[in-house]
Amino acid sequence: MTAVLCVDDHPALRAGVVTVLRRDAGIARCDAVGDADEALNWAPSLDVALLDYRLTRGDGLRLCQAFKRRRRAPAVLMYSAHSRDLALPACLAGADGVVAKTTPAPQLVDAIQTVADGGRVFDSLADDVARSGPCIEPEDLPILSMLADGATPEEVAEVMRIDPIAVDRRVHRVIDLLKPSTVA
Amino acid sequence: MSNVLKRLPGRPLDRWVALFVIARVAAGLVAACLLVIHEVTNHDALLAALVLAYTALSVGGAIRLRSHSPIGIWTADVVAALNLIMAAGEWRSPFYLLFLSTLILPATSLARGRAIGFVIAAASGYLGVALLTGVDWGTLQTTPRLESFATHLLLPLLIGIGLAYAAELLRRLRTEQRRSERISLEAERRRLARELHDSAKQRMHAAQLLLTSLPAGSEAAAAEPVQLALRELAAATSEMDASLTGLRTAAGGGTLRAALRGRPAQLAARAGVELDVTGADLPLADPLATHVYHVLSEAILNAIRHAQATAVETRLRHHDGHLVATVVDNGRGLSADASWDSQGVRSMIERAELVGGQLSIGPGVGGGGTTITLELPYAGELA
Repeated sequence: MTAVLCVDDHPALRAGVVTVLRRDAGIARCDAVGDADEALNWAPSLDVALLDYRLTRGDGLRLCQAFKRRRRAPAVLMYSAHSRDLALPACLAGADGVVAKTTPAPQLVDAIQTVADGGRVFDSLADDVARSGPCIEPEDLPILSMLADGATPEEVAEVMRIDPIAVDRRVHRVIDLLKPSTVA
Repeated sequence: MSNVLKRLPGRPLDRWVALFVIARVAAGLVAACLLVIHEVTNHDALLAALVLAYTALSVGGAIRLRSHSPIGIWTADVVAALNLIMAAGEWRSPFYLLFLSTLILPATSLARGRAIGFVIAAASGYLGVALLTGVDWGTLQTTPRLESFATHLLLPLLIGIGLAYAAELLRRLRTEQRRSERISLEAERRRLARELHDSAKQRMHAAQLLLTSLPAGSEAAAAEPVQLALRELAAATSEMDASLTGLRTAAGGGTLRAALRGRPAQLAARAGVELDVTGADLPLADPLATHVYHVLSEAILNAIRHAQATAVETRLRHHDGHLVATVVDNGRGLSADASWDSQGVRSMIERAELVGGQLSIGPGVGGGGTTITLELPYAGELA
């Protein structure tokens, strides 16, 4: 039975998500918090985290990386409000999928269950790689393609014969380049 | 006295009036005292009374008229002071300070060039009076008296020119301040609009989510109002997405042409409309360029959405410090009364005026379709 935590700074959206997810039989509990600090200090066990890209004091992608560094990391779904948000930086940050906020409720529940069972939900990844192509250095493209396909950073380092730390650094640089700009 | 000063608001020109008042009153009092203490002329008491009356009159006049004193009044002031110096009989006169105080208002109110001209003319007037009252060239042989004469002649020039420069710097400072205020106000307005937009859009997403959570196949979910509501919400969120992108545009460099080939080109491609962007290019870092972008993208969107055009061409031309941007489409054209009323057209016109330009709408090539022309002075760099 899945425990879900929604992290979004808009109260109306939190209320909507919680209402909808609590009605579903497959979801044991659903809570919502407004900022990254509260999310990181969330004590109860967590199966899936639903994160907005933009938080008022924080960054959705960085929060995703923080969650994934834990020992029993939850599955992370990025919740995208704008069509301009790219799925590629989410994938690089370790997220298991991206869903748009325009997604109807049944599909949202499906996506949550998919990532809870270990799957990935990336619909527009190929498009995003193509769209962000011009921004990325050519040397980084093979690394990104492999990561987008699901390889782990260690596997990438082995194949490319470079240091895993170098892979990490390159990935961070690309994420910073591609991530959506903050509101202010 | 302090009441008088307090009533003057803090605008820079009124500070000059305050300076004038202080100088004029001091000069009048000094003149009257000197006349009373020492015997200067045969009619000291009369002159003292006259100078005090004149002081009161000119101070009252300056406060009433403030900056609206025309050159004529200032000239009359200078002439009156020079006459008083003549009446006292010598260029070293109790009325010299009065003469200096006549220079304050013209030097700080006129443009720098004219101010300096006025001061030079007044100083020449003083020299003339000095010569007329008889300069004893013999007594000028000694250095102190020669130095005193030179100082008396040059002091009005120094004071006048100094004040003229100070006043001009202050004027320039004010203009810069006002401009940066306007720019920051506009940036603040844009930020607020973005936040409002963002918040409203999130609420719509929440509503969409709640409606789609109605059990599929149930009577409630299938009801027509619910289906229509879902369609409206979807349309609204996609429109807000587009306009939010517009509000956020040009945050990080890039050029006008690149921006036009971004979202507007995407929408054109989706609608099957051919979009051509040619001509000069501007760096979006220039605030004028973002306004031009908004006007042009609005025009392009109108052509796609309302004019049912199949081809839209945007061209930028720059020559002689002027930028001319045109958007031509082959759609069905704007009908006479519809064109000037719609909200989109009004916002385009407002933006054009904001950057000091002009927007005109006319028929397209060969009489059909529409041409929107934006002309504005542009002295910035091209990309």
